[in-house]
Amino acid sequence: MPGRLVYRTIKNIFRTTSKDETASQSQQQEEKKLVSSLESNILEIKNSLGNSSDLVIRVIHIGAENNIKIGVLYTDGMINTAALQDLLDSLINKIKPSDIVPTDSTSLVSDIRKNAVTVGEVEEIKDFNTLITNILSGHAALLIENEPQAISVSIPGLEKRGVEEPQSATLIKGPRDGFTETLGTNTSLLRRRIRSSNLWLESKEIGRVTKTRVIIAYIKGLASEDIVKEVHHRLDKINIDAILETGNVEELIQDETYTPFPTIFSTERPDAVAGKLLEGRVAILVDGSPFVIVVPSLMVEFFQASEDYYQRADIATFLRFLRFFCFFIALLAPSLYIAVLTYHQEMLPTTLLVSIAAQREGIPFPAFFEALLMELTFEILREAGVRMPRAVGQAMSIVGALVLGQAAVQAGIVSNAMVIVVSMTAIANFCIPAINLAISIRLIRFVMMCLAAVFGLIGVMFGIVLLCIHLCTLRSFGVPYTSPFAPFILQDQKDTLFRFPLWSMFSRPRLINQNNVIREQNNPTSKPETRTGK
Amino acid sequence: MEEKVRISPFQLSVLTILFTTGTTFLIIPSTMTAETKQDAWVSSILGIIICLGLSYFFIVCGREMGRKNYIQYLEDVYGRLLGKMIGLLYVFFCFNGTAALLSYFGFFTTTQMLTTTPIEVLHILLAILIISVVRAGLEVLARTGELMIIWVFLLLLAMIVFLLPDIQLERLTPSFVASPMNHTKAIINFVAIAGLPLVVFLMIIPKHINRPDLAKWNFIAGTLIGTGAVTVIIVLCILVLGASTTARQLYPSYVLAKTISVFDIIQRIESIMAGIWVISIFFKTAIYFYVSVVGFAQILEVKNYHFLTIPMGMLTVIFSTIIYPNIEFMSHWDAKYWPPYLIIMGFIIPLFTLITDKIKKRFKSKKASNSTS
Amino acid sequence: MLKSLGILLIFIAIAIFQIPQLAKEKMNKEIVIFSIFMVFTAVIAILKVNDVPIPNPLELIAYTLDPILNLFS
Repeated sequence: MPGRLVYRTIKNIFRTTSKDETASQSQQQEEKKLVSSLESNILEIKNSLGNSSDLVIRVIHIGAENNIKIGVLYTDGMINTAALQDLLDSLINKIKPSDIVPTDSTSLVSDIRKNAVTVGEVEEIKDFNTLITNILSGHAALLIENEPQAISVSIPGLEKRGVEEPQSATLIKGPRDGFTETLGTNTSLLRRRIRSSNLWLESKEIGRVTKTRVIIAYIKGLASEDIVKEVHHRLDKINIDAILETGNVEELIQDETYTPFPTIFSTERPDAVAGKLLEGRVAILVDGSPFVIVVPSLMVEFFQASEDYYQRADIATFLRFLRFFCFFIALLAPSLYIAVLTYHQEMLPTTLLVSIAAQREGIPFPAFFEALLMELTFEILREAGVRMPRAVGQAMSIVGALVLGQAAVQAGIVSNAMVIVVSMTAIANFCIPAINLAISIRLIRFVMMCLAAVFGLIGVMFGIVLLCIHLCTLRSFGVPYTSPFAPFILQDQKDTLFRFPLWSMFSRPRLINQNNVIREQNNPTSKPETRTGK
Repeated sequence: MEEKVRISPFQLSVLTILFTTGTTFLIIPSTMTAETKQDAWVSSILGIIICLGLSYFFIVCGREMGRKNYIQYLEDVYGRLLGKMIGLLYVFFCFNGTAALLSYFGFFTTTQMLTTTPIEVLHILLAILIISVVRAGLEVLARTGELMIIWVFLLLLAMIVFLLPDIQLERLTPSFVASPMNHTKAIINFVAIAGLPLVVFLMIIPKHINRPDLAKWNFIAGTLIGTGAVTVIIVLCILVLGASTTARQLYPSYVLAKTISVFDIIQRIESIMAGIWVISIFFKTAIYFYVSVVGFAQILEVKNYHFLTIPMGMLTVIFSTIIYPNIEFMSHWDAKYWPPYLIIMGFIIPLFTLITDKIKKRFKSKKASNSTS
Repeated sequence: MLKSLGILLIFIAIAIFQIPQLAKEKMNKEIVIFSIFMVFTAVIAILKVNDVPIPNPLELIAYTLDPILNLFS
């Protein structure tokens, strides 16, 4: 009780201070308006950016008698240099002095805007807050002497990575483009696949300090209105200083925090996202991250690779079965080994039992400890393998495979059978396409091993039942995580364990999309026609 | 206490199947063969018919109840106080049922699989499962059932296929020799273990079904599949082990699984087959526990039942060692008192309630028509 | 003695976990019922671990059923 109290008090303290801070900040900034003096405007911007060295200020004189002073402000590296050249060129050289003589109906600002600025996205701004945000996100600001407003010209030119093959999900057959860190590129990759006016992109800004752009993408008419509303609601509720990656958003909007399972699907593949959008799901794109999250997501989705839809249905079905089988191996192999060796030796055929017993003769540890040792070693190796520099990779694999594996067996610390079980588990784990599900299995495996060591197979069954109960309590944006198995929906079985031929997948998942279920009206007779994939 | 949880008719069938097969798989072959020897399959088929009739009877009761659960209905019919007292009898029945099933599970595992583990630990293990699932609610229970029933049927199918080589049809002969008296006893046992406990589903149908109109056939089909699977196990026991061996065993179907040996590779897989019993006992216990907790919450008229699960679960763990102090007491009590107790709880009280309600309603409508005319 | 203390600790831990949840939803009646129930269960549990005989509910059923069964036999 006292611990809880202290925790709550601390939480409250933090909450109140952060709220006050934001309130005062926003109050301060909203009141600041631009003034007519160019000097003081520039000074103000400089001060509020703390004289940051990447702010470039250039003052030019234009007009008939060079009497109009214009300050051009932009952030170095955030804008397109060629576009800036054009802008300055048209301001200094191309503009006719007669065009910018203000009359009664036109002001200087609108004159310049009309005649000098050749770029598409332009707006007039009157307060510092918006202006600074714009300068920091790739706009050039034109401040004009004696005018209390600024022209903000959008010429963003960020340094960006080209579209490359995604590292996290490779495939043999299928498109090789992956999302990048640039939001504009990502939306264009989606648009390119779905050229429909119904693909709606709604923009949001999250993060008090980072002001990260977040886009909600869905297909109007397919996505359930309730889910779109819920996504908006949950994103609006986020009150945090920084969103640096999609993972941050994912963690803040998921239904259940206390679970090892991912309840939100994330991918780097635009084709996968497009497919899910067409099933009526909602995608969330975050600027600065090549990962896109899709809600609501079900457990079966983590077993589906996008390649499944690009090859023959029977082969894809076989691969699906293989993945589910691998899921169980990765989850249970070490614990079954422990349970059988410790409690149920009678299950093994005699010859196998004798050979395992002979291997284990000189080993000082019980099976559980042996398994724990090997599993931990492997987890360490894997983590080291992910984080280490590429150059030392070779040394690592030699140390890992030869020195640890071989030597451990020869030194009589672990048995050969155990090494086989552990490596099989590890390889099976890699078969699961979604990395975040694979990680959660790694975690649960240790719990299963402990249960197997204490209660044998009864313990393993206990673990499985508990796991099932846990999975059944999970929901992703209101949709039961285990559907369409539980609740069982016959129509949706076409794309779960089996991958039915595309012509038979005429309906969208029921629970995700209630209003527009039928997706095509094909019948097998139309087979000779060539059809593009989903 | 108003709960807006709804399960689908299909989920109801799943729960019915798991509930009827629960402990029945494990113990009924020996009770049946003890009475009617190799004719046990005949009595179990007759038993199925009676069970189907019973499930139809429960559906009829459910129709009268409308959108109320059983305890609310009892309060309606008998008045608040008497209704609550009869409701308490049912809570007591389900509470005992939960404790007894924990005990069954404990006896089974400690005698057959984990002989050195203290029985209380296993009771606590199962109790953790049922507490967590009932806390999560009926929907989660039903969904878990859908996930697990596939495994029960796969294992059952595997067992049947693996045992096919060991079947000796002559074990069924001589046929039709059991006396009608023995048949009656066997049928009463069958119905008391597999059919009459279905009375607890009156807490679920029709209140918690999203399509009550479809619930009827799904409930009856569930009963049919469940009791049918039990009959298959009984027949298999007779065909493989023989009637007299089956009757002598405490857990004949477990012994059945022990005899599996395919090409000397798949052998002694009874520990895996135990999955069938563990899963179905878990669901039977969970349903009993759910009904006892929900019933108790209904009687106390509290806002929700979730907070009652932990104390009630702990109480069942304590009573699970008291209720059956040893296996002898268990077999004695189950043989002597269980059938009459279940006939009273599962048939006589609901029937009496139904008749009283009908009479009351007729009386009321007559009164109403009298006053209007 | 140590066993009883352990059981008491478990019960207190559960109460600490459960009561704030109920208090958050302002269910005062439920808190009272929960507390009474927990105290009752704790007493029974402590009696049980100290080997005090506790009446078996099945005996009660048997006692009430006996006259009916005698009627038939």
